[in-house]
Amino acid sequence: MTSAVGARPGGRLAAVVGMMFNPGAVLQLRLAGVAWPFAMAVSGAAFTLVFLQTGLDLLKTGRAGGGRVVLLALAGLLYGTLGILLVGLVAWLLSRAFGAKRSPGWAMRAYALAYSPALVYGACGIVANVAFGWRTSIAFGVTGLLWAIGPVMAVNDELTGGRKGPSVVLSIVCGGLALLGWGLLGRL
Amino acid sequence: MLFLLSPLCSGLLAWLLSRHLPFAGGGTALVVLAGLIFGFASALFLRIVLAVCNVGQPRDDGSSIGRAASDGALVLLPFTVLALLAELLLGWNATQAFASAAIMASSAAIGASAGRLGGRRWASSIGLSLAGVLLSASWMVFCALVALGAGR
Repeated sequence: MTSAVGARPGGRLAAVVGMMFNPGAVLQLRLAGVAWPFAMAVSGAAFTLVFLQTGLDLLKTGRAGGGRVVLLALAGLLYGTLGILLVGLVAWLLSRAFGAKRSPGWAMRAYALAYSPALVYGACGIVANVAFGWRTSIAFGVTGLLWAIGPVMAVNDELTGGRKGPSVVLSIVCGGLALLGWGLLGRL
Repeated sequence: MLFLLSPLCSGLLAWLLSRHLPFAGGGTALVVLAGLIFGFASALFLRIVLAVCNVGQPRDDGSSIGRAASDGALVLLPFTVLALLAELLLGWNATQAFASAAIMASSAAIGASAGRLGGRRWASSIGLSLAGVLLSASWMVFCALVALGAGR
C-alpha cells in the first residue's frame, strides 16, 4: 500500500494542504504513502505555474512574445521536476554528514512535496492572472515559493534528526541552490 | 538567541531596504539602527506573547519557553540569507516579501516549538501565529515610514 495517499484524491489533497500547515506531521505520517509521480507533479506544477505567470506578466508589458511564454513554462516544468529532485539529492548527501537515517528517495519525494504552498499560490495566481488580467508573478509566484521555505526547513529537520543547527545550514545551502536555479532560469 | 537573531536579521533586511532608497551614508545607518530596534522590539513582543500563552504551565521555569523561542528564531536565518542572495546576486527587489515571510514563519515556528516542548499547544500556535501577522503588518508600516523618510 505504498501508494495509498497517491491513489486517493482526498489523501492527495490532505498531503498538499497538510504540507502547508503542518509539514512535520505529513512527513512523519503520510510521506511513506506519497507516490513518486505525485510528489514530482506537485513541484513540477508549482514551478510551471510560477514561471508561466512570469511569462504572462512579460507578455502583458510587451517584453515577451508567445514563444518565450511557452519556453518559460517548459523551463519551470523542467526545474520543478528534475531541478528540485537534484536539490533534494544534494540535501540528502549533505545530511549524511550529520548522520541522516533517511533514504535518498525519501529526501527527494519530501523536497518535491514541500513545494505544496507554491502550487496552491500558483494555482490562485494563474486564475487571477488570466481571469482578471492582474500581474501576479511577484504577489502570488514569489510569495508561494517563499512559503515553501517553511516545509523545506521541516524536511531538513527530519533529515538531520531534529538538530536545529545542521537543519538551518542545510536550509541555507539548498534554499540558496533552489533560489539561484530559479533566478537564472527565469532570465531565459 | 531570539534577542540576538531578531535584531541582526531585521538590521540586515533594513539595510537591503535602504539600498533602493536615495539615502546618504548617515541615512542608511539610521535605517539600519531603526531595523535593529524593530528586531529587538519584535523579539520582546514575541517573548511576552509566548509567556502569556503559557502562563500557569506545570514546567513553567522558563527553560522550555526559552528553547522554543531560540528554535523559532533560527528560522529567520535562511530567509535573511536568501534575501541577501536575491538582492545582491540576482538583483531582485523583494526584501519586503522575504521579511514578511520570515517574520510569520519564525513566529509560527516558535508557537509550534512551544507546543512540542510541553507548552500549551493550541494557545501557543494560535497566539504566536497572530503575533506574526501583527509583526508582519508592522514591518510593512516600518517600510512605508522608511520610504517616507527618504522622500518617496
